[in-house]
Amino acid sequence: MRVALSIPLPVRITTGPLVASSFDDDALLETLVHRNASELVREARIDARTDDGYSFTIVRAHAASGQRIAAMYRFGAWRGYVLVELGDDCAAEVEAALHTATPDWRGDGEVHCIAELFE
Amino acid sequence: MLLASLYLPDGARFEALPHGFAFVFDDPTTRIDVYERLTPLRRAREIFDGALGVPTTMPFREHTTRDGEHAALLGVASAARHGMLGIAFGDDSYRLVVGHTTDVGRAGEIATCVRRLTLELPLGLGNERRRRFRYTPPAGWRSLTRHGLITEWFAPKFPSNPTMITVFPSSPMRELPSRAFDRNMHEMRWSGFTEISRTGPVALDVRRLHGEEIQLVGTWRDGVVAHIDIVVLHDNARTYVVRLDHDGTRTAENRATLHALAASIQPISSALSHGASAGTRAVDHVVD
Repeated sequence: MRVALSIPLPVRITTGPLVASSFDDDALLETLVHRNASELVREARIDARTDDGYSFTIVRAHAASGQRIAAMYRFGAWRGYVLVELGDDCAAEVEAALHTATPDWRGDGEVHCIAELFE
Repeated sequence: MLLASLYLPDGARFEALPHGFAFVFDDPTTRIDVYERLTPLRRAREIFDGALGVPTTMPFREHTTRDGEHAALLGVASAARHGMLGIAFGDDSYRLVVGHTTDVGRAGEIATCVRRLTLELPLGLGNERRRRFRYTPPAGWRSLTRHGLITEWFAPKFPSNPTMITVFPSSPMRELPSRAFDRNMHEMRWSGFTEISRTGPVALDVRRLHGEEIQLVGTWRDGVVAHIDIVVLHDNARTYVVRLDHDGTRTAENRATLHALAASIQPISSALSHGASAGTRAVDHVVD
C-alpha cells in the first residue's frame, strides 16, 4: 500500500509504504521534512484536501540543499508520507500535484477478489 | 512431505527444498518444482509469466481443486521443451507447480503429475472455513482488503462521494438473515451507530441463493447521517453478506451497483463444501 502520486516536474520524491495511524503521525511528518537537513527554515504548514476529499497536511520548508515540501495524507486509518525536494521556482505546481494523490491499496499488484485472479 | 510423495512419478526422487519440494529425475532436463505459500496473491497470468520468464498470451484453464480452492493450469510446448504449470490459490497465498521436460515421451506424465499436485494435494486450509467467493467487482472502484478476507470497495471520488461496498467472506453455515442483520447492527453500535429508520427486510433471490435485504438510516457518533443497505444471501451450505454504505444522495445508482454485485455472486459449490462426499465429483471435475 502506498501513495499514488505523479509529479511531472524535475523534482526528487521520497515516499514509502502507508503506515497505520498512531499518536506519532505529526512526529513522522517532522522527521520527514528534516530528512538529511541539518538546518531548516520552516515556511508554512497547510491543511488541505485532495481532489478526492482526503485530508492532508503540507509542511513547506527551506534547507541548504533547496526548497522541500513534505506531505502527510490521512487515508482512513492509514497515513501516507511524501517528501518533495525541488527548485525554488515550481512550488505552486508541486503543491497542486500533491492534491491529486490517492491511496494505492494494492501496492505491488496484489489482487483483492477472486475475479481478479483470472483476468 | 509424505502426502506429496504419494504423487511421485516412477523413476523420480523427492527432494525437500527451502521453497517447498521438487521431484527430480535422472534426466536433468526433467523436473517438477513445487513452491509453497507464495505471497501476495497475484493474477494467474502474472504468476505464469513470472515462472516462464517471458510474457505469454497462451490461454490458461480455470479449475477448482478437490478442496474447493480456485486454481489455474497452463500447458506450454515448444519444439524443444514441454511443460505444465499450475497454481492453487489459498486465502492469502498460493502454491505454484512448475514441471518441464525435453523428453516428449515423458511430457504426458509430467503434465498429469503437475495437474494432480495442483488440484489434489491439499493446501491444508480446511474446507469448512470462512472464505472469499467469486463476484464481479464494481468497475472503476478502488478496493482495500481488511482482516485478510473482507474487501471494501470505494466508489470513484471517495471520500468526497462517501459510498462503499463491503464484501464479507462467506460463512460455512446457513445463517438466517435476521441473525446476520442483528449481528451487523450490534457491531455498528460499537461505532456509535443509532438507527433512525429501517425498510424491509425484502426478499431477494439471486441465482441459487435466497435471502433478504434491509435498508437502514441512522447516525454515527459524530452525527453524520448514514444510509446502510445489507444483503444477506444463503444456500443450504453457506451465507453471503454484502453491505452498502452511502450518504443517500445517489441512492438509486448505489443500490443498482450493490444489486449488480450481489447478482454476480457465484456460490461456492456445496458439493465441494462437504469434504469426503465431494471427492468423486471433485476428481471428475478436475480430470480433463
